[in-house]
Amino acid sequence: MPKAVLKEKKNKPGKTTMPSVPPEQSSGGSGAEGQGKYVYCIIHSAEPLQFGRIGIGARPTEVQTVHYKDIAAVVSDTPLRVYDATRENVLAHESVNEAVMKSHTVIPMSFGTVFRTREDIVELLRSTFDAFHDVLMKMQDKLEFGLKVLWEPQEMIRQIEREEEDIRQLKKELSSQKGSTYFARVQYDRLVNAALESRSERYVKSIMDELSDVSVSSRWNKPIGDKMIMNAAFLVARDKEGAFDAKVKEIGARYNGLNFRYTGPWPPYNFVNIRLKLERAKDGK
Amino acid sequence: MIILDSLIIGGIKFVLDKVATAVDRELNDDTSLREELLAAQMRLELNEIDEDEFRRLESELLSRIREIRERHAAEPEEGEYKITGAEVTFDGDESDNH
Repeated sequence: MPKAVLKEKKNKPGKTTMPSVPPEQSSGGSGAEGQGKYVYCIIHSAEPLQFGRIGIGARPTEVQTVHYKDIAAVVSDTPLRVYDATRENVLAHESVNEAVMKSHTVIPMSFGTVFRTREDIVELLRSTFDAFHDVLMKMQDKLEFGLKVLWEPQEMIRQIEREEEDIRQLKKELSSQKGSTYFARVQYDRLVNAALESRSERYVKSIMDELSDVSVSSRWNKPIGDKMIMNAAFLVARDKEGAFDAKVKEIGARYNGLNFRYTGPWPPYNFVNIRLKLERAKDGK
Repeated sequence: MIILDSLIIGGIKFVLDKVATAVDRELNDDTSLREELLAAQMRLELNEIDEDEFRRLESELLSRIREIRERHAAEPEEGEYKITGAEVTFDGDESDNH
């Protein structure tokens, strides 16, 4: 029976769906003391903004903006430390971006981005002002969605055995044959694997093709684990969101054996690149 | 539950503090551990493991990632870094679509 594809509701870490947040472990040996600024994203805003005490860390701090002209970094105070990519921390980073996205187009920063001082951030905004402007403009009214497609390999093998004559024959020989079946087995494995691979490629290509009509761009990421055949991100124009949504659900209903995990909208993690050039300061400051 | 692959795999791209000086090497080094972390989240999402098992895997993987980081931090490359420039690019032009 076709399963309905539903966009997953995001967890809101603030709403205590999580067990209590464990005290943060010190990153040890890195001498991470003192105050820094955790940066979540860059937005367009000339006005100072506050987003509430939703910052990352065991004791959430105020999320606010640091400005250069009309470009702003969304930040909160944090000890200078390296944040582990725990679910709580990653969700805290993401939930701030989500709150900001409600009213602004964002250029998301990587998880764990900590600047030493406000001046460092202003310097980043100043030196990259034009590029941030340009990217924010291009990103306007575009949303990122994630789509992962999984299957059950064992289920698919049974289907292949039913549908492909040569494999069915081989399977029959294997179960009836006495004595050594080594070569038949090797042959069987080879054929089954080739059939799995070609089916996976065919599904993925057809899904990507169909979604390319309703998206601006797509990115292919490495599948996670042995059940995933597709792990993609799509950039979708805001006015096509409904069409994209409908298309994903229609495709999901058509492929019985596939499990669609559909998420978003995300900040455009897969469609913006930020590279900083760093230089070692001479002896301390 | 959601998975934030880009965040977890992307890791720390830059942090203006000495602990982040080993970023490039670190990414090469711990990518497979980060992938395992994602795989564990996927298994939790698919109910193949329970919350306790996930917690156990998560803390084990994160502590291995931390070890790698600390090994790098101990190398003689510490010091203050400053930004001398930055590039920001939009990567979603229509032409990228296949």
